[in-house]
Amino acid sequence: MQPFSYVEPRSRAEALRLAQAYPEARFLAGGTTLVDLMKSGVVHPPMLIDVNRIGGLDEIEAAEGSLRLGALARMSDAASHEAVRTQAPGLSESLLFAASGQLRNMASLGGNLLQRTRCLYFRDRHFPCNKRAPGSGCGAIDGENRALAVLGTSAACIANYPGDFAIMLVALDGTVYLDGPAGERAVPAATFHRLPADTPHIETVLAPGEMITAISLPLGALSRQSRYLKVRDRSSYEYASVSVAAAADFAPDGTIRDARLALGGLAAKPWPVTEAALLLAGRRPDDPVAMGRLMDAAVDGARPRSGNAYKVPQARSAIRRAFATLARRSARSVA
Amino acid sequence: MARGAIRTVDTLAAEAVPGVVRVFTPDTMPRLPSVPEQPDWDIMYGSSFVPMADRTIHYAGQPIGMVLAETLEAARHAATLIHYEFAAEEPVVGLDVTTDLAGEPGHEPEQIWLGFVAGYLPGAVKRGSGAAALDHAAVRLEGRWRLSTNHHNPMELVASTASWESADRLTLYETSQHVANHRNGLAKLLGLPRENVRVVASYVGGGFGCKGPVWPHSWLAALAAKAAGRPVRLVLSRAQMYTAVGYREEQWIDLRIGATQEGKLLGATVTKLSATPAWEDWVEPSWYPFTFMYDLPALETRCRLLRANVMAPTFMRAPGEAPGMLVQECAMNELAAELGVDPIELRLRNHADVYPIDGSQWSSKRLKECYRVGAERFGWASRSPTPRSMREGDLLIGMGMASASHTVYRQPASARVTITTTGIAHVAASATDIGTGTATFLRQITADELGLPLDAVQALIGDTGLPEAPMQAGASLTSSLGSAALAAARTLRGRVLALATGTEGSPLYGHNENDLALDDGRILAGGNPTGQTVSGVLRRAGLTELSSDGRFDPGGMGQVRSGDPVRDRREAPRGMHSFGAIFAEVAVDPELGLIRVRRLTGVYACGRILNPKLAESQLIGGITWGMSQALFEVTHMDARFGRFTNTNLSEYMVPVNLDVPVIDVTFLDDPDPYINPLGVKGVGEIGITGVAAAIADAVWHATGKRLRTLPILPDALLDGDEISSTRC
Ligand SMILES: Cc1cc2nc3c(=O)[nH]c(=O)nc-3n(C[C@H](O)[C@H](O)[C@H](O)COP(=O)(O)OP(=O)(O)OC[C@H]3O[C@@H](n4cnc5c(N)ncnc54)[C@H](O)[C@@H]3O)c2cc1C
Ligand code: SF4
Repeated sequence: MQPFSYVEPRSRAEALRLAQAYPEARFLAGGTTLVDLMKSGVVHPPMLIDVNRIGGLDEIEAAEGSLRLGALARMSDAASHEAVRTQAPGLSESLLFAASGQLRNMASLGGNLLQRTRCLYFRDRHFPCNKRAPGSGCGAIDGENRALAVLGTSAACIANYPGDFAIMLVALDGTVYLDGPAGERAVPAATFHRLPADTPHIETVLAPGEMITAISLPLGALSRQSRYLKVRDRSSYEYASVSVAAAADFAPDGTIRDARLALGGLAAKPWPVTEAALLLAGRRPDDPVAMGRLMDAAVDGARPRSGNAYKVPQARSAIRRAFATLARRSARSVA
Repeated sequence: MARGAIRTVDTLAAEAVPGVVRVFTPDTMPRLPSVPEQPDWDIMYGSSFVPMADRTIHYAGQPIGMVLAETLEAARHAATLIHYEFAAEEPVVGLDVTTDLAGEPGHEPEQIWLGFVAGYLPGAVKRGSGAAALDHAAVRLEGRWRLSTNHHNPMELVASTASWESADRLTLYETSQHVANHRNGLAKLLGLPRENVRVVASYVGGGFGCKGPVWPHSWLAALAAKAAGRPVRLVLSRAQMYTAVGYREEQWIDLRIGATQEGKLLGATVTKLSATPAWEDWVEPSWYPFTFMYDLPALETRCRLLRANVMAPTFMRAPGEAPGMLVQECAMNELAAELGVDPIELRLRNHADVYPIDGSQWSSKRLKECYRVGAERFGWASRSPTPRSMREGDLLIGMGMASASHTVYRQPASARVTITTTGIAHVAASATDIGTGTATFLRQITADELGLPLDAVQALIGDTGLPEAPMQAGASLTSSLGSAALAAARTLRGRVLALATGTEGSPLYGHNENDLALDDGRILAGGNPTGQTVSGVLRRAGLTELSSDGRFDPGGMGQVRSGDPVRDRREAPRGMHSFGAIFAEVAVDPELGLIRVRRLTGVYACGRILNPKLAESQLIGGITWGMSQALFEVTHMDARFGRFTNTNLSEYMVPVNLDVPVIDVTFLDDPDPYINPLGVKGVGEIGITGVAAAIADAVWHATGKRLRTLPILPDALLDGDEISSTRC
């Protein structure tokens, strides 16, 4: 780890002023991503702006059909919040199935959105990696790529976005609130992350000096019937090989009125499957034709590499499984 | 950089970092007075390679610089600022190369050196003609098992703290499984008399083999401390642990095995392929279980080694048995399926009634009862033999089993027991405790023999100043050192009683020693109090304490032939093994490719069990590792760079709590009169053996797929990358 300076602003304005004055500086929230990467020599910010002392950034509020989560709210606090558990159970699951208890107690929601890929070549500076060192080449594309993406990749980078929370956020039409040199703005969660194209080192639309202040999502029939299915080699404490964020509003006869789907683990960014609403409307989840079309649409354009072809059949099965579970839960709650 | 040379080194920036004390490179590192030479019957080196001695690069991860600083942070940072220019060459790694580093298709060593615990093994075994026997076989099986590279990954990192007390006296605090080995090694390499080197390691946070041998970090720390004129602590990072203290090598094991229609084994050929460094031959003897496990009349084994840009592999829990039993037991299960015979029945038909290596008797063997009791506890009878025939909702259920076994190794050991007039006893030996309960068993044995409560016995361990104990390895410490402690305590007891009965004026003068007993510091005669105490006896003799030394000298290594004529001449002709049976149930989600182990039942006959709690823990740990070998562990090597890619515990997968089911461990009473006075065979290594085969068989039973590449990952169940049993 390289030496760095550390500042602890007490207000948002001061933090933003510092960030603008020192463009290489980084905000420090829980530190579970940032400090790790600093220790491995992947990033070396000369200054850390600790935002944990700034008041008002960690609140969780549910009102008027909307949930608002402060960027500094901890994963464990958000996951166990009454409104999150009852009105957006899939969001709670996406947080609970992530990392470990210790990490969730430290890690913030804003930091969670900004976690970096687990690509082995990115994390070990002895290897080439276009994301870490632009122009050095992609070590993974012809290397050990079992964990990496089959969707949204480019010739420059096939890294996957590893997080869980963002997948559910995208499925449930969430919004990310930013504040920075150009003032405040709101960005749909679905467009917050960028595809790698030929600039894989630029991962989000966050501008230099900009801070995430909050995250929101609409609460309603969809969020109440949401589920996060996380598939991984071991039972816990592992990133998803494939994950499915699914939500469905069921009519009393068991047909779907409205649905949402986003995929994680296998794509360069949280991967919304926008066709879900159209393909499932008026259908039942056990309708093989509708489900087949949805599965086709979800992995359309998938480009497996030497080690990750298994993710495609795994994702297809996981999609069917997630909606089947939602249907069972819905039937139970009607009965 | 895995191959090539350093062209230039620039240390200026590193030296300028505040807090930096010294920067060493291959150009400036002080030289060792003498270098490791293999074989050495007294010293176990991890490798004969000496890093930091010249500018050649042999493998990725090779030490090429060392920074001493006031803080770890400054040292780590400065190390990244040493600027090197390299002349790089294409590395040679991996098992699918056509020519190795020497430009050859590999070589077959005549014998392999496994350090002084096991000595030499022949590079090839020939019993009858395995190949010819296969011609007559009604059923034949042929296959290649691919086993991944595995790393030890003990929780505690490897570390040395070297402190020179004077120009020629060194104290080394080392994460060591064997302080005497580190003392002997460091003394030899540094040109010091052994008595001038003290090595301390009382408690070690896990070793699994990687902390047994002497590796370069220890002598680098000592050399650096001498040069700097102050103590130096060197702690390897987790990533450095992947290239500095050995690993279990990637291996391909080709097996051909044949049996009669009745399931009687006729013969087998086993060929192992693995990689070794340019400068020495290391090969884990994975074919070894084929030599002793079943009544196998004909066997031919070979090992082919490829020279590669790698550091030396080393011992890892159950070396030889862990991979070998996997292949052997998978083959038995595949044969059983081919023949339509129950896997246990097939094993019974091939049970080795005598020790197959030389036809001698076993010291003790209760394997058949392990099968029977294990089958009962597990409910083996409920298994329907057809694959894919057991389901639960979306899940396919599978059951599998395997035998388990481990060689009994025995090592010379000594211990000292002292009793004082305060009523407290000490038991002392240089052994370390790597989580195996060394101090506990020493206290137990001493307390039992001296009739003292456990609280009245203290253990002194982990220091070369104490009587010399053997390596904490090969599941041999409890049996060997325990026997030495028993001898010491027994002698001491005799001396106390002799003082009591042989000293004129003593109230017990003239009593028959055989009528006397010790109980909580008192002396009983014919079971009745005599009013005399051990302390009183000592005081009357003018003593404040009394000590006895005890020694265990097995006169051989166990039934492994060491290759040392002196040792082997004294070997008792008995087969000495622990045995067991392991049963596994898995649930497979075929659509998602997920495998979860639901139950594991193991039944073991390991001689006398001194401490049931410690023994059960050893087995649970070993079985968990076997499951991990089957389903999780792999260190990936990127052949283009000759470098491991996942050198951290985030990407090197081991099971988490939720993956590990309740593990049911039972020990059969297995008194063994031949092995040692305690009758203890050891429990440290057998747990890992057989487990992966039982799980692989359970996966086959669940899914109908024979998977011979480890670890078994969801990919294999989703890609159709299966091997159906090949009948040839
Ligand atoms: C072993 C391990 C396992 C894990 N497993 C999972 C898993 O299974 N699923 C999963 O989803 N995640 C997992 N994670 C990732 C974890 O969830 C993230 O590390 C965590 O959420 C990051 O939050 P943080 O507050 O610690 O971020 P930090 O490390 O403090 O920051 C991360 C990045 O975000 C920036 N940042 C932080 N807050 C803001 C802000 N408000 N505005 C602008 N920039 C900001 C920082 O500058 C930094 O670049 C795992 C992490 C570890 C170490
Ligand atoms: S996939 Fe992306 S992150 Fe991984 S090595 Fe290639 S460029 Fe780097």
